[in-house]
Parts: sequence; structure tokens; C-alpha cells
Amino acid sequence: MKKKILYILIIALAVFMLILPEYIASMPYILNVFILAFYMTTMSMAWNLLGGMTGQNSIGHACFMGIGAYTATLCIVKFGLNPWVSLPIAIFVTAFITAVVFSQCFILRGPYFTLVTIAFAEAVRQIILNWDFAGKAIGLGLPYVRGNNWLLFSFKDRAIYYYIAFAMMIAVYAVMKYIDNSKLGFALKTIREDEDVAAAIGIKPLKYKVIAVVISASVSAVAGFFYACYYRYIDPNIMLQSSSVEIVLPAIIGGSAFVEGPLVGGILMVSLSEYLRNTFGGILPGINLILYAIVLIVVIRFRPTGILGFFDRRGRA
Amino acid sequence: MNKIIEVENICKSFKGLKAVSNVSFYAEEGQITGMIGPNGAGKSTTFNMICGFYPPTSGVIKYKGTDITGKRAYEFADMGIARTFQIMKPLGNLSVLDNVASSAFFGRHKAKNIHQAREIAEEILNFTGLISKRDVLARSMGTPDQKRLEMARALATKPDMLFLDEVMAGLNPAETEEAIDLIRRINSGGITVFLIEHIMRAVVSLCKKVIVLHHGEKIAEGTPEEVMNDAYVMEVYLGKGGAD
Repeated sequence: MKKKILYILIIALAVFMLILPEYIASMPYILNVFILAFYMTTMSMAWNLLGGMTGQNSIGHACFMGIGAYTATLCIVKFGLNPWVSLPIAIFVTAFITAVVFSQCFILRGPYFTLVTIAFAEAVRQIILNWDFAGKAIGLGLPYVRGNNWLLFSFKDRAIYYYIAFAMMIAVYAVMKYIDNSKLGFALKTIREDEDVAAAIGIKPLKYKVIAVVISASVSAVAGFFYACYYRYIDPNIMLQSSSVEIVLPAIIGGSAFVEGPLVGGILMVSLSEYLRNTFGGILPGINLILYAIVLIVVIRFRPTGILGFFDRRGRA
Repeated sequence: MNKIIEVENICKSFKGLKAVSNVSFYAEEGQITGMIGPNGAGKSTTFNMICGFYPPTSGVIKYKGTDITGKRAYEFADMGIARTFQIMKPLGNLSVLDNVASSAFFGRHKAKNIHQAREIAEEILNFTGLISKRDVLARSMGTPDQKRLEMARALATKPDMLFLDEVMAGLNPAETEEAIDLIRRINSGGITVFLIEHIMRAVVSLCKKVIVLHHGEKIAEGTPEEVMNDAYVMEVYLGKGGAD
């Protein structure tokens, strides 16, 4: 019975989200907030596969997204490839670089691994920043396209981006949900809880950690491709440390132990941050960031397991 | 009598400190073999070497006749060797059922999907008497149940050979009795058991053969009665003059 109500609620919410652009199409700002929320949630879910499910905390995910965005943009701008061809190339390049680098770095555990992700992200950003071909600090712009063009993945009608971002988020959620209940998911969760136990029951920790980081980076690359096509312009600042931290927050706030965590956290935090900026940003510059920080601290202080932790009964046994 | 595990002259040094030197023994298939010794005798070190957690400095370990020295810890489950940890390592944030299901996915059951894995896990929980706790988070259980969970998780890999590292430490007499009964049932199902234990009553009632370690060396081997009447073993356990 309870499950039935939940399903009806979810379907109602989905329908609401689908017809929403009809009503807010005339408000580009609101539409943009939604697109941003979907995009951030997707990135946070990608992070959560490695951070929440495997227990390998990365603060360099903006860099995976950046590699994806740059590879796709370079393919489009410099090699004249179609965006649909560039996307798989971007995924492949990101996955390949990640696999090569991180298969070497996973001997490091805990905070040391986190440091490596920071160093890796910063190194990639510096390379781009000093690489003529990639536009250095000026960045790269994607060509202007008239009207709505699916072939060139560029739309005048912002609502289409809304639907694409929404679909991307739901698809990634479905993948994560599937992984959570699969053999792979159990391997990752066992590694998170204890690597010695994982080895004792026949899980090769390194192999599964590399699989996790490759999937996570590939999803980030897809999000990066979307980012580049949506904003039509990228620069090395998308890989800043602060962007990586922003990706982590929704998962932590929502509850990183849950597949739904980033979903709840992403939607809530992005709307909150935009609302605060809109309402208070004009009154006293910076006050919105202070309020945002207060919300963060309060949630972490009172429920370290995130918002969804409030609803988890098992923890109180 | 088949020797399932054969250990030949294994040594282990940690930065010059000799933890285990020249220990040799074997365990017979289908039997329960025990290892005892005072604290710091090198029992756990020997145990960890056999289970692949670190390689011996020298010596050979054979399993079913093949040399397994230097194999990595994650290769053991597929060979049919399972172990428990002395300091319990429950997968704290997973339910008891999922703790065991994870083993069913890997190990030798190789469950195809989550339903199959949880089905196998339920069977094991029934066998180990943890079924009533199936939905509890593993970290919220007490010591006796966590010790049981260690065994359940090892069993779910479908082993031929089970290594138990002090699974009775910290249990009260009634719980110890239950654990002894469980180990006996595991063994009668055809699984060879090798255990490290401090509780003599358990060792005497379970083991057919006992190996005694002291200062990293094997000082005695035989049936529990033989070992307990050994003059040197008495001296080690009770001090000089204790034998009188």
C-alpha cells in the first residue's frame, strides 16, 4: 500500500517535470536553474559511484568532466567532427586516461587517494591552461548554429536542453540503481567497508576500483559534453577545485550511502543556492554563500548520513 | 588420509624481528585441526601467511598438493579456501543478509543476480542461526553475532577449507557451546577446518590434532591429550615447575 502511494507520487512528479517547461519556457532563468540542477545531479551521481559506493573520495571530478568537455569540443572545433561522433570519443579518451592514471594510484588509500585526485585535476587544468591548441586561458567556443539542430546538438529552444538534461539524469540514475543491486555494486560496497574482507571473499580490490573510476569518469564525460554543448563555451575554470567540491556536496547532503542521495541533494542544493543568490545576493553581496554554508554545516552536524539518513530505519537498530 | 594443507619450513621476519621460524605441519582433509599458543606466539602470522595476506619470507605452502606460496589473498576464495578475521570485520553499513550475499556473488557460488545471491545467503543464515537478524545493520550487532557473521560470510564462498581465527574469543560459556556445535556441523558437512583458539575446552572437544606454537616455533604436535601432557607445553603455559 505504502509502495503504491510512493509509485503514484513518483509518476506524478515525473509527469510534472515533463510538462513544466511548457509553463516556464518564457522564464529562461528558471529554466536554466533546472538544467543546472539536472546537470549537477548527474555529476554528483557519477561522483557517488566512486565516493559513496566504493568509498574512494575524489575531489577531482570536475577534471573528468573537463577532459570530456575539452575532448568533445576539440573534436568539433579543430577536427570538424559531428558532436554525435565526438561524444563517444570524449567518453573513450576520458575513460582511457582515468584507467591508466588511477590503476597506478589506487595503492593509495583514504586521504592519500583524495590528495592524488586533487593533484591530478590541477595538473590537467594547468596543461590545458598552457596548451595553445586547447585555447589556453581564453577557452574554446563552439560554433553558432541557427535554430534547433539535432544533428549538430544545438538548440535555440532551451526547453530541449531541459529535456535532454532530465533524460540524462534519469538514465544515469537508472544505471546507478542497476549497479547498486548487481555483482559489481556488491563488490564496490564490500571494498568500501573493508578491503581485506573483499580480498578474503575473492574480490580483487584494484580491478573493481578501476572499473568504478572508469564508469564514474565516463558519466562525467557525458555530463561534460552536455555542458559544452549547452553553454557553447568552455575554459579551464570549469576544472577548478571549487567546481569539484560543488560536485561532492549534493551527494553528501542527500546521503552518499544511497543511490538516491545525489538526486535529493542535487535538486535541493542547486535550487537553494540559486534561490539564496536571487533573494539575498542583491541585498548584501556574499550573504547567499554564507547562508548556503550554514545549511551545509547544519545538515552535516545533525545527520552526517545526509538528508536520506533521516528516513533510514536500519541505522537505529 | 589426504593432506589438504601442507606447510613446509615457513619463516616470517618483520624488519629483522623473527615472528615465525621454520614451522612445518599439515592438516588432513575432512578433519578439524587446531593451533594454540600463548599471545605473540606467531599464530596469527602463520595464519595470515597461509591465507595469502602476506607471503612468507621463506618456505612452501601447499594446498591439495599444489604450491600456493605467494598467491594473493583474493585468489584464495576461488581455490576453495575461506577465512575469518580475529578482529571482526563486518561490512558495517550493509544488512546482515547483504554481508553474506556479497560472498555468494563471489567465492565459488558465483550467483548470477541479487535474488540468487540473497537466496544462498538466507540458507547460510539459517544454518548459522542468524536468520532473525537478516535485516539488521551488521555494525549494530554484538560480538557473538558478529563472530557468527564472520563464519557465515566465509561459508558463503562455498569453501573446502575453512580457517577460523579465534572465533570464540569474547564469548560466554553458553555462546561458546553454540559456536562449538556450529563448527562441528560445518565440519560434518565435509569442510576441513583449521582453527586458532585460546579456549582449551573448545580445542579439546573439537580438534583431532593440535599444533602448539611458542616464540614463533612449533614446540609440540599431536592429539589434544598428548599435547596437554607434554612437559614443555605445560612449562610454556604454566611456567617452570607448573608440571609438578
